[in-house]
Amino acid sequence: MMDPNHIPPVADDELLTRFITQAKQFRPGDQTVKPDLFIPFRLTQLSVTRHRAATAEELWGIGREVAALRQQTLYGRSEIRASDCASCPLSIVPDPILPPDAPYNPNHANIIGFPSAKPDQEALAIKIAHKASNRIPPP
Amino acid sequence: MVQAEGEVRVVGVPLAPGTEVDVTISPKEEPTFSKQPAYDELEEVYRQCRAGGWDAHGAEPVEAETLRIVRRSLEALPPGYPLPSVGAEPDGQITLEWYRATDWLLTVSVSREGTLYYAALLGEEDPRGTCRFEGEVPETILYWIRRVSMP
Repeated sequence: MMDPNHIPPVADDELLTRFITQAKQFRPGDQTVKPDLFIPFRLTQLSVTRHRAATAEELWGIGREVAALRQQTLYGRSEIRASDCASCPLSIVPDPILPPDAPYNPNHANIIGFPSAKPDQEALAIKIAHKASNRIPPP
Repeated sequence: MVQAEGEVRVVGVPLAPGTEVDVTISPKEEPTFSKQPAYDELEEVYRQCRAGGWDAHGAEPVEAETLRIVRRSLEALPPGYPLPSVGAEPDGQITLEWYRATDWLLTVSVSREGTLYYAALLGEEDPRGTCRFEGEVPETILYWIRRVSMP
């Protein structure tokens, strides 16, 4: 994981992860992820975890903690390149989660800039989901 | 009387020359497509999402009125139209998705007031908008369902 005292800006070529905690966020038939996974709520921003300086086990550890805190099932995760979801009007800003907040995640970031109009949010979510990887099941 | 030339067969069986056949023409019956799978999925989504915080992250509950409007929308879907898959969003709206590929799909979110928020991706086309359900599925929505579903 990244050093919490030295958090760099998100680069275009970075990989980001969205954890899947709802069964309806992916399609069982072909394992593609739905736009639902990328719909922001309330704050018009979306949580992601940066892969930078993180091992696969560390990433899965964060996913398991997120699911455990919510008492939900971790169905897996989906990866997306930062450049594929940072097109206008969206941008990605580091937002490390440090103690006393939980789960500890210095690699946490937010995709911000979602429009407030529902159809525009949906349209963006569809495009991001198209670029995102299929569901990667937990090990 | 109609006379046929050459060999005449009925369900593959040849008829001897001079055979008289009575023919009755009936209108073709329309096939019946059950919408029950969509109703079942809708009921399951409602059951899972009718309590606040159903996503353990502050999601709004899906209300009974939303369920009723979506059910009416499904009932109003004309014969021959494919059924959507059903889901829910954290703002309490129910989503309907017609899907062929990740860059060829339509989503419609239904609010408790009967507002339909739609967005689609068809290659380079990315239409989106808002309309209302007032007893019939709006032609705009039907148009995009046809576009997504046509081969």
